[in-house]
Amino acid sequence: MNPLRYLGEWSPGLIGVFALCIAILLAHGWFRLRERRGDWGPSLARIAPAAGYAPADLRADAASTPVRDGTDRLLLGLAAPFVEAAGLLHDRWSLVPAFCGEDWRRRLAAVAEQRGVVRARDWKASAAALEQALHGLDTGDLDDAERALLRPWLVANYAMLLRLGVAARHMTGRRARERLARAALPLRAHHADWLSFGDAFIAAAERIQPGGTTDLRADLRRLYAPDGPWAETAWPT
Amino acid sequence: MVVSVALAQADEPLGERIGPFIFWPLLAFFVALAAWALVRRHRGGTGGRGENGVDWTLPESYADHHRVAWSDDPATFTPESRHWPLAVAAIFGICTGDPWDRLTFRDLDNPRDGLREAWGITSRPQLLSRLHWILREGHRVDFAGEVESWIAFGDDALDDLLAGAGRPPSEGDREQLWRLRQVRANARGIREVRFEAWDLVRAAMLTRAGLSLGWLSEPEAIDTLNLLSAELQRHYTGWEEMGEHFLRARWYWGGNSGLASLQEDAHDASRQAALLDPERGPWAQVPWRRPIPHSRGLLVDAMVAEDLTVQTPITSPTPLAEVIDEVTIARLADRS
Repeated sequence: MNPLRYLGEWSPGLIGVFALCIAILLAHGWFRLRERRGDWGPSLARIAPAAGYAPADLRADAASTPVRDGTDRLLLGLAAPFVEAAGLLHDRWSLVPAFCGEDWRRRLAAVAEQRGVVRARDWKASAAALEQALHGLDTGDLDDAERALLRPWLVANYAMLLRLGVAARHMTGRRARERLARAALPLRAHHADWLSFGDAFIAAAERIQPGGTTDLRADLRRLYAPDGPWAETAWPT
Repeated sequence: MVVSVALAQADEPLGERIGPFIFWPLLAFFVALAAWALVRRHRGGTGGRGENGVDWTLPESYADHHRVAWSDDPATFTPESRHWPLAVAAIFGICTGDPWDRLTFRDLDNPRDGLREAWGITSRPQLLSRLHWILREGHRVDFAGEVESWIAFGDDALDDLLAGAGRPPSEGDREQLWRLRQVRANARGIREVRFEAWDLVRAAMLTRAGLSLGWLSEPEAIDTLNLLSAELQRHYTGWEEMGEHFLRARWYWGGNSGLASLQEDAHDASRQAALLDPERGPWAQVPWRRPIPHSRGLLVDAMVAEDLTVQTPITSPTPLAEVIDEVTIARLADRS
């Protein structure tokens, strides 16, 4: 018996099925290409539950790739304190390696859960709230010193949120770059370099949680280390 | 030639041309593949047996892994004050195969990889800040708090909570639901567990690893070990009790059921037996009741000197946090 004989001759239906298969393969290839470029992350949907010990830092085996573009280095560096605290990758917009395993995805999900932005609508609401807060800095009754103190904290949070959005596929890396570049533009008016940015970041964190910035302070030292994202003290150009 | 044959046969149906010899083997292959994947998924891998056929759900399978290494001869061993905290750190130390009775590890790959992978620690400031956290509050504040509040709900309220829980939306919720179930059932007597052992034993391990990697000086490490040792001595009456509370707290933190839990239980039972072994076990050789030197707060000095502590936290959630915060206030006052 040969069941394939019932397929009959080449028919429009059969050609349609083949065309659909090819379209699915092309779309899959396109998605993989985007993920390889870091323009998209692995998404946070359907993550397998952990079984047993889960490492807190998975970066030992992840290859580090230097970021050549100065603007990209600046924009990626803005979320660095949160990225370091979460044990994620500094040099990828999607925060995790391309085609990463479930352990990386679980890590991402834990960070998103901590911020309450696992679902797309929560993420959008959080991004809108931060955009409004940043807008309020420019239009509110704050003096210059206060603006200089609060902006790094808000921009760093916004940068982390956008990158979580890229990782979760709520937005593309290109769109995240554009939105973050606009938010980061006023930083240069108040802060000359990463050192000044870091000091203001810590001062704002200390104001939010007095006496609770020990871990952040320790992580910041790592950022200034020779292999850290803030090793080049001046703003990247 | 092939093309002309194909064209000549073009009036035959496609299925006939492909032939029956391709279809059935392919179908059999895919069915076998699907069956294999299903079986593997349901069994959870190798059913507890490792690649070499060892059943890791049995404590005796870990006998080689938990062979206690000594730098001195255990037959002529005389316990000194430095051995008490080392016996605490031995809970983790004996798994590495390094001698338990030396302050530093010989093989530095284990502590380096362990601190990086499990804690995200790659520098002295990070080690100091994580040590500060685990000594002040660690997991014990949250765990003890949640157990206490769930007990206060009463069993009927917990049953209602569990009945209406549904499918947890996230990993964190899944773990919390698992813990709630264990507290409701009082599994492993979790309602009576004192979680200090879980935090302070890990602190001892961090301290020993930090000294080995050169991120703590020897006085800083010994002083920190003294600080946590005195606290452990205050909370427990002996090595075995401390070990039991550590194991139950570790189980509660891990939140594992099924095969993973069976393997962890077997590993832990084997380790506890090795630590208490009358001939080579550190807990059998070092007396529990032994004076611990008073801590001078060198960890706090290091934190202040490194600019990691610039302000005293608003609350001190544990007795040890009160001690540390008191020293911090004094040091910050000296500095200003």
